Amino acid sequence: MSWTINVTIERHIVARPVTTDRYTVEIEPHRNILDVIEKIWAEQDRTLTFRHGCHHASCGSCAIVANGREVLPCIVHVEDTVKKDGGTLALGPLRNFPVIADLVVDMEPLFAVMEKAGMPIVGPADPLPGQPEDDYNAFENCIECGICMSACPVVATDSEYMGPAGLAAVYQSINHTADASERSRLLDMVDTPSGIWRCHVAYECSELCPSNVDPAGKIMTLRRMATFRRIRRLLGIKEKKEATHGIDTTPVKQ
Amino acid sequence: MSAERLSVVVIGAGSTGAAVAHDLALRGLAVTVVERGAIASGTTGRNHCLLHSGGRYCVKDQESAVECIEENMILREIMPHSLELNDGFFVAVSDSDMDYMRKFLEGCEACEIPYKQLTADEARQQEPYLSENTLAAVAVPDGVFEPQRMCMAFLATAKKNNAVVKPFTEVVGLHVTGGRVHGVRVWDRISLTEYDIDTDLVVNAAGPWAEEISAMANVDVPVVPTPGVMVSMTGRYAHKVINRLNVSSDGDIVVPQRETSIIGTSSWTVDNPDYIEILEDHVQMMYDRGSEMVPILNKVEPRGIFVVARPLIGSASEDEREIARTFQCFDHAQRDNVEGFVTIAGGKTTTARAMGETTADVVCAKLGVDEPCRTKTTRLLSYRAFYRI
Repeated sequence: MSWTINVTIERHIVARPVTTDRYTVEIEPHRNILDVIEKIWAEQDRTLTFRHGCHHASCGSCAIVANGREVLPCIVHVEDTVKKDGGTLALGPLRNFPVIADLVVDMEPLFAVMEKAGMPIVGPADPLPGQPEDDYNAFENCIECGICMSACPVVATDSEYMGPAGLAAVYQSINHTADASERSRLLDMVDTPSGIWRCHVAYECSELCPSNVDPAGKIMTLRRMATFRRIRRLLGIKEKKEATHGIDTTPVKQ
Repeated sequence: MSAERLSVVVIGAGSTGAAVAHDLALRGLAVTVVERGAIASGTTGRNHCLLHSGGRYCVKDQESAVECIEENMILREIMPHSLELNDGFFVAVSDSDMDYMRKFLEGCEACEIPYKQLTADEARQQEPYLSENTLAAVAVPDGVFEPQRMCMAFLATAKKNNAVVKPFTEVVGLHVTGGRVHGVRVWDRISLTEYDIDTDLVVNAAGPWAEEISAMANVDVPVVPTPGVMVSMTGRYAHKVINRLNVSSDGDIVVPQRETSIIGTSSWTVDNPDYIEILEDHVQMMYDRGSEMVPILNKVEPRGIFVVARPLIGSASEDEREIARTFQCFDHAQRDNVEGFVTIAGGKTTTARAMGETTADVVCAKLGVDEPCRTKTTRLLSYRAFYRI
């Protein structure tokens, strides 16, 4: 059985004031919000601009704000957001990014930070559920979707702040290298007032991350690492040589 | 003639268009890519993410299988550290699968696909979530990619070689004068304005929309939009790609990617690939068939359910499973008396680089450019460079 839902979309068009357009869409409630957007584009309004790619939370390109919360519309069901037949779905672009058009934001600032953090694209795979460690590889969990940057209250007010995605990426880079001087350089990069110490511990990033990255947990671990390093330096203890594999935070359960 | 000042417009920024742009830009041509949506927002994006070893085609479509294994090895070189490389299994869970094994091994030999036979115990030791009914397995060098990021890597490298990439730029007309295509009319979806781009040649790499584009030059291309349903399940239950050791059929593959398992796929044909309804019985078929190989997949939640049309070459009357998965480059001057217009169709993301090479060879021959292909050995920039350049 289809639902009839009322969709409002923020329209950002170059050199025009932001407006809100309204659409009525018939769709089965277990379909995803991205299906709603694609259906509006295909059947009602070819001027609507949005980004999408994989439709299964892997490419990160469709992230938007739906009914006030950052989501990947490709994996969020209509019924979980709209709640009832005849309900409303309000869509807008991610916050804290320059808007290019409608639901499309400029991802360049995030990718610049991710490049600086140098997070590998592929790393050691986590073991399969209930199985021992093995020598396999997997893509890093972070899909670089920008949701954490949009949800973070500090990013909203401080353009100097490196942000949750970048800081979590630096943590992963530290974890992936066995080179002590490289680890030290990476920690230097974030052990700054606009790095790990700028986080307000709001945990919005970890709550909304669609990919179990837990940026806030990683930022807290980086703070401990930086603090221990200061203590070691004060006491004149040399840097540890071994890699930091094994220091990890508990992933957020979805 | 040197490539200087010769310009090419490539329509489509899926894997084919991205690879064509990269190849032409490396040869020195002035390339402009126009894409009506976001990068990889069509067929490529909604990909199964399988870096083919060729195993899936080595019995019935050996030309495709050979293309796959060759390109698989090249991609490992030109985009290192950007692929999940844990190999793949073809698993037998029925007597009919076991009967197929001999043909499969002969196919691997014929196509020079490296393989290793495993007993059921060996296979289940490596992949403990495989069915208890597993009878045997064959390991092959399958892998997993990120399709959108592969496109961005091709395009970032193309941009470094002076290509211009224009997403949200939809072709609404081709300019044809005296039997020659010499420009495109585009609609800028950001500013909602139209403008023209003059060019020496147009490459149509619009995938299942190729026919829509070619019709603008009154040319027909035999592309059949052939959708398939895929279901991405919550959780990763194998490190290797798990294929059914049998003739290709619905729901016969599980691709692990990051923390998910993607079951695919089905096959039917449509006229309009813009919005395709997801068929509920196909989704159920993915659960049923996928769990014959990895039983836990029937007990976990789906994460994303998606459908997209493959751009197969053939006629709609053919059985879509029988259509070869290889690619074809059409020079419309030879075929339809329309100069300055080339269509590249068919193929798959694994063979995108080869599709780019073949197309660029045709384009350069037509424009009199004498530059060799260098994409086999040119390392691609990271996808993260795409926005910076």
